[in-house]
Amino acid sequence: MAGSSEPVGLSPTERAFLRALQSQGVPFMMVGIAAARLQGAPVVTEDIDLWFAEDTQTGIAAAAKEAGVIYIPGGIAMNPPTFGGRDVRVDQVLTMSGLASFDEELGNTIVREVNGIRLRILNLERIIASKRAANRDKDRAVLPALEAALVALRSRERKP
Amino acid sequence: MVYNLWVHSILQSQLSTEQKHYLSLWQKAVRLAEGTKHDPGDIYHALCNLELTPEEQLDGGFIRAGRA
Repeated sequence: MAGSSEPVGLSPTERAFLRALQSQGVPFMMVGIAAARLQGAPVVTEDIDLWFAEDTQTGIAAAAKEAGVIYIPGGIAMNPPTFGGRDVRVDQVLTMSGLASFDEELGNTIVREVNGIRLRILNLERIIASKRAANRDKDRAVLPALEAALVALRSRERKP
Repeated sequence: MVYNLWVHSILQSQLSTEQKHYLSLWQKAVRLAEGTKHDPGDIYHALCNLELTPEEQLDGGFIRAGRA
């Protein structure tokens, strides 16, 4: 919101990581609540969910190392691939409920520039579709706000 | 009724440009919510968020700050 301090957006380490992913040629898109937030949705989250193309584990690990992000590959302690660090809020999303393949969903992304980094963001319609399909308590809880944001977004798109 | 309209027009004329802007967003939200199940408050906040920069949008959406 409008305040006296400068907006932060992504943390310095997150910026370095996203840039490293791009320089490593790892295809990814931002999904989930952070992506919805970048399309006006009045919702809050703990993390930035990233959905990667298949077989990108090596590139992700290299980008994490380059950016100083702690990365724990999946399966060591029955864990999913996990990121860590004091100013790192990134999560790797392994499956997206109710959506098509990563490559097909690339066609349903928009580009947003955040802290000077051009990021592919899953569009709000598809985020809502994934939340509906996931249908957990926490997904159902955010649906009204996401749907209201879609109404607001469309009203602006109609504007000449 | 006529009196109310008169009072409202007087009140609106006394609003600052910023107040008028946010009032117009609220009125737009109410219009968009009419006849739907959507909450005008959610639409209003989304309209406000859409006026922010991407960095500001992210800042408002995190429980944990990014510690720049």
